[in-house]
This record gives sequence, C-alpha cells and structure tokens, in this order.
Amino acid sequence: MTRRSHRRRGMVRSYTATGGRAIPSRATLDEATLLKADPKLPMAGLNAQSHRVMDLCRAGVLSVAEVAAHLQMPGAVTKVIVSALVDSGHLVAVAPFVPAAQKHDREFLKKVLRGLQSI
Amino acid sequence: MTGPHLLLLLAPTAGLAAVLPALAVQVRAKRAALRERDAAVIAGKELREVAERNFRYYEAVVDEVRHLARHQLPALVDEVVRGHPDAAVPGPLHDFLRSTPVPEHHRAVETLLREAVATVREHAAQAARAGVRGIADEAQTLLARLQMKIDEELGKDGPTGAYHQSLTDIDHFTTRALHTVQRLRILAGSWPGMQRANCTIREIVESARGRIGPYDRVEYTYLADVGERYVEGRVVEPVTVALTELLANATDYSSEPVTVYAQQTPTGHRIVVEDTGLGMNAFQRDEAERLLVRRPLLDLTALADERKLGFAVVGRLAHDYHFRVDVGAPSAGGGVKAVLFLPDKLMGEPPADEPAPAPSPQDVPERAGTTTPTPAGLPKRQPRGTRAARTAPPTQEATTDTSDPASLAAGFERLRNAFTHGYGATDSQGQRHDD
Repeated sequence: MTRRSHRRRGMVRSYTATGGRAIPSRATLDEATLLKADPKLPMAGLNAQSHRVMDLCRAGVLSVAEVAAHLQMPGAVTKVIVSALVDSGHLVAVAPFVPAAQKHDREFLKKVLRGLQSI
Repeated sequence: MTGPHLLLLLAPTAGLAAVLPALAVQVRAKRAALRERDAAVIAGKELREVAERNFRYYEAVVDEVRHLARHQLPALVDEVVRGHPDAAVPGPLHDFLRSTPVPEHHRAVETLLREAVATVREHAAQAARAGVRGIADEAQTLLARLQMKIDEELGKDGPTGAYHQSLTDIDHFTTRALHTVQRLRILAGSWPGMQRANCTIREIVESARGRIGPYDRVEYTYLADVGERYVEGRVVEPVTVALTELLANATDYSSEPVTVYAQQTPTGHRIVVEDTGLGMNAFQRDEAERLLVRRPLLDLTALADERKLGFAVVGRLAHDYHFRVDVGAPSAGGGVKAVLFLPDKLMGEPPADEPAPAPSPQDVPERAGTTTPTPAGLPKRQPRGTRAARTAPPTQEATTDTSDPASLAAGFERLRNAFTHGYGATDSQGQRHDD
C-alpha cells in the first residue's frame, strides 16, 4: 500500500456506508461469492456506496473481494453493503465456480509456486 | 570781618537747607510706605485669592486622581481585563479641570493600561495557542493511528460478528474525537493537520458525514458525474472539515433529515447543505456572514456558542484555502441553506496510482464462448448498452475466471513454459557471468 493511497483510504469511514451495521444480513456471502447486477431495478434512493457497487457490477460479474478492492473498503464492510443489495434484489449472489472436472497435480502446483516465488 | 557773620548768617540757612530735603524725603517715604501698605493689602488679598484658587485646584486634582484610582481604572479593568459587557468607565469628576492638562494625562494612563492589557493578552494567547497546537498534534496522531488500527482489524478475514460491530462503534467515536481535535487546532491558528491525496467530491461528502454524530440523518443525493470529480489533495481536508461543521450545524438545529448535494456551476462546483430547521434570524445571519469572511483566532476570553464557533472554523479555513461559504441564500425548507463553493482552480486530477479505468463494456474483446453459459451455469459477461464509464469501472480480469477447465490448464501450461524458459535464460546468464 503506497503512502498516497493510504492518505486516501482513511477518508471515508466504513460505518457511513453501512449505516453503522457491521454484521451482514446474509451469512452465506464470502470473499469469492460472485455478484451479478439486476439492470431492471432502479438505482434511485441508493446511497453513494451502494450506487458504486451497482455501477461496478453492472459492467460485469465481480466477486465480493473485487468489489471491496474497488471501493477501497474492508471486506467485512463490503459484505454488509452487498448483503443489503442482495436483499433488495439489486444484486444476485452466486457461489463461485470451482472446476471439478480436473484435479490439479500437486507437484505441478508446487512448481508453479516455486516459479512465482523466484520471480 | 564779614566771614563769621556770613557764616553765622549762613549757618541757619544751611541748616534749614539741610533739613528741608530730609523732611521731604521723610514725607515721601511715609507716603510711599502708606502706598506700599495699601498695595500689600491689595496684594495680600490677591494672593489669598490665588492661594484659595490653587487650593481648590489642588483639591480637585487630588479628587480627580482618587476618582481615577478608585472608580475609573477599576471600571476600565472590568471592561478590558474581565470583559464585563456592561462595565461603563465614568468620565472626569470636575468640569473646570477640562482646560488643564489633567484629563489628557488621565487619558494617557487609560491608553497605556489598554495597551498593556492587549499586549499581555496577545502574548498569553500566543503561548496558549502554541500549547493547544502541540497537544492537539499529539492527540490527532494517536487518534489517526487508532483509525488505522480499526481499519486493519476490520480488513482481517474471518467471520463478522459482535467484534466488528464494536469496532464500527469505536470507529465512529474516534472519528468524532479526531474532528474535535481538528477544530481546536484550526481555531488555535493551525492547519487541519492532515495531508490527503486528491479525493472525489463523494469521498469528501461521505467523509464529512462520518465525522458528525447523527450521520444517518444526512441524505447525500449522489450523482455519479459530479460526485466522482476530483478535488486537489491540498484542500481536501480543509474542505471536509468545513463541510463537517456545516453538517453539524444543520443536524444540531433540525431534527429532520438534512440534504446534501453537489452541483457544477459556471466557475466551479458547489456543495449544498440544506436543513428544515428553525433557520437564522437577520441578526444571526449577519453574525454568521461576518464570521465566515474573517480569519478569527481562538480568543481565550470569548469562546462563543457552538454555532458561532463552527462558523469561525469555516471562515478561517475558507480564507486560508480560497474557497467560499455562503449561508445567506433562502432555503426552500425554511431552514438554513449553506453553500460551499469550490472554484475550478481547486479541482484536481485522479491520482496516478488509481487503477486505470477499464475499457467500457463494448470495448472488451469478446472471448470465445461468452454467449453461452458455463458448465456451472454461471452468467457470462456481456456488453451492456453504451453506458459511459465515468467512475473507474472494474477491470474485466476477474480473479475467479469462468473459462472452461481445458483452457485453464492450457494457461498453466503456457505459464510453466514461460518459467522454464526464464530459468534457462537466468542460468546461462549466470554461467556466462562466472566465466
């Protein structure tokens, strides 16, 4: 994290986006949950952060972690915002897709890890 | 023979002649003495009169000095030192001293006292302000670190629960405390104590909203185009602190929701805070306007009421950072309409480390198979309309790729090849170096 973005990161406190709620209304969401926007529901009346989440997800499917990174908000806070949007029907949450057809070779993955570490 | 006769004859004549002038002198002397006595009597009378007059003057001057010491100076001290608003300094006692230098000297004493008090007060205020700045600095640093720690904890993975709720509540108290410290240091003649990177108007409004108690009563009408314009980092914190003060005023004087919105104007942007409270009367509005154009410093003896203090903070920041705040416009809701004008020269560019705006959906090259659902039934990304990407939209390279397993494996294979080639190159270079 660079100093510059850090000076920006603390600006907006998380509770302003969540109305002080820290516990998401849905316990099923995790960082990898994929979010899809429902383009038919109007965005009027949404607060600024929810508005931004919708803008992000309308452009394409994103995971909760990606939304958090774009909002520059902690994951726990993002989950609260996203949960509310899922409740209101603005977003559809889908469990992440894990390809089950092919198990990866453990040795192969180790090689990849070593390769990455040596970069 | 004639000599003695002549002498005899002459003798009485001579004697007479000698006596006569003496007599004349004597008479003259007597007369002079009489005249002198008369004159002395007159002179004595005059002297007495003068003496009496001088004594009256003396008594009057003593009276006047006593009046100065017992009444005028204490009243003056009440006025300039103790700041009693109804302390009236009495005038001189004796009118007939008006033509003498006495009143002038008394005025000199008064002036000197006023100057002395002003000088002492200024020195004391300077020392106090320096002290306040030092303490505020330390408190601010600690609170900012507490905020960072809270963010760090909130950012940790794991189940969210009561712990996160407590952190969020603590965060709100910390942020409000931080704002209190900031307004104190600003009134003490210092800067807001925090340098920010360029931030958007949305971030400024949301940040200001989070710094007051009843933030849930502030309704920010977010419009993506104006809301995502960048304000120069140098003025981000001052504008945010000023906006916080306006929001605090609006929510303090109204129990209804407070509306905030941003608009573009021909010469810049404006952030409008509207409440539906009691509003201000003409006198309060004049006082507010007066404070908003001044550059007031913390006066130890005159810490006024809350609203005035807020306007003093805003006035000082607006003066130092060249933005303008106006509370004179009528509000549709009957309350106060505060407008913060940001001239174009205070607007900035997006920061360099901001993720580059992703291509708008129609520019994304369509990958094979994106029109059909994946085996897992996940929706595929599809270009959606022609919505222009104003805010930094997400990059389309999602961490969780939805390509089919075969292409994923092929990708890994390519990566392995790249690594293998990379090792080879490094090794050969190493060997050549050793040679």
